Amino acid sequence: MLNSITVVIVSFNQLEAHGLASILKEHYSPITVTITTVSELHHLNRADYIFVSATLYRKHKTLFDQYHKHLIIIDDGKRQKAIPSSIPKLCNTFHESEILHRLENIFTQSNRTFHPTENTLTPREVEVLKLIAKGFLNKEIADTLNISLHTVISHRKNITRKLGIKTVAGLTLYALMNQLISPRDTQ
Amino acid sequence: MKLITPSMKMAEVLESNYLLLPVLSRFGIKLGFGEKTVRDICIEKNIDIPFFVAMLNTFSNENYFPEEEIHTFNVLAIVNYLRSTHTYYLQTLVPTIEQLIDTLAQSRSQHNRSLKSVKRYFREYKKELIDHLKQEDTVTFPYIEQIYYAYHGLSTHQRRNISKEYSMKMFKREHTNIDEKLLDLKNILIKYISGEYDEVVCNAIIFELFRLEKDIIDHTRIENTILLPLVAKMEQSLKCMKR
Ligand SMILES: [Fe+2]
Ligand SMILES: [Fe+2]
Repeated sequence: MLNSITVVIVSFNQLEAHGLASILKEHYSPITVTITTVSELHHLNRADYIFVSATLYRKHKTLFDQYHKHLIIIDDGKRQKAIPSSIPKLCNTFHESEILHRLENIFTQSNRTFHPTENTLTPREVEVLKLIAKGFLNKEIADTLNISLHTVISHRKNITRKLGIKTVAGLTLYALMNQLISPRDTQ
Repeated sequence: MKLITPSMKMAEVLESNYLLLPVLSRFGIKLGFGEKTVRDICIEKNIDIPFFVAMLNTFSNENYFPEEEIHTFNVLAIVNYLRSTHTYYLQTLVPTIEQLIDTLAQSRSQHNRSLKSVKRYFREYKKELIDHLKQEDTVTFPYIEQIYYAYHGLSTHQRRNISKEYSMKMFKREHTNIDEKLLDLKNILIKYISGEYDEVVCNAIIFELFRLEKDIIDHTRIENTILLPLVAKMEQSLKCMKR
């Protein structure tokens, strides 16, 4: 069974919030993403991760600091005063692949309380795994799924880390044993 | 694990780590040690004591490195040891695992199709392993022997015979990893095997995979960190002599 993650994004910037939400949904489903402003705080209690814009964080520091273990600050990459270095940051000027890389680090940091995606493959990762097992190269996977090469590589890294399987042969065996592909696919 | 020393009794060494048994065989040492020490047996069998002890310690402790002794090691002795390790893989350990996997794939779990995939996986790994070992047995080791004789014999004739098509640089570049696929197979069986299967056989396979993996990691470490630098040094001084 896949564990669902609950994420709350607190931001006035709608483009930023919806952009992040769509990236999260694409790569971490099943996932519940709620976009909110500070007015509806009941969401925060149930969130595994709270993404908050730097401006709002500074304004309501005492409030957000209660959730410091769940917080991720969205900033514009400029040096921020009053933001503790212990809180992970996500820069809104990043490319998608950089954002994915940061998210992966944030979600897997061992001192964080939650590891919702640990060891379970997302549906997208399963798609990538199937293609790897069928012998597709990175470029071919990118073309087939219509995603960037960077994203393919980032998926591969995550698959390897989650399953603990390094080699293509090993991933293929895993896919066969779990009937993700049939032996005919590998010939 | 405490370091093995020449004054220890051989029986006690084995008692401390029974996995060393095949290592002893590679040096031609047979059971029936009585009260003999490591030193006694080495003298009897005409084995270089520091080298033998270093091999035991390298095998027992992955962080051990024979810093001080390495320059006294005879390159031919290292090659002989590595060659007999190859033989052990090909004639003993790999066939044992292969047979067990065959049994696993055949047994009552006929309908467990995934076990057939395990069989195919290992067959392919075996091919790769054989290629790797063959390359070393037929290219790398003979080249190293030539270097050794030229270095010690110093005759121009012998020096001229050294292959120009090969070098330790090439070995370093082409030396492939042969433990990753093994590690993957072990992990896959441990973490993801499902359906009906013969537990006794599967446990035996995992046990042997652990053994082969450990042995291969130790073997590769000897090739990369002991043999390679020693031969590269000889290569270098031969080059200087030519000038
Ligand atoms: Fe070897
Ligand atoms: Fe090797």
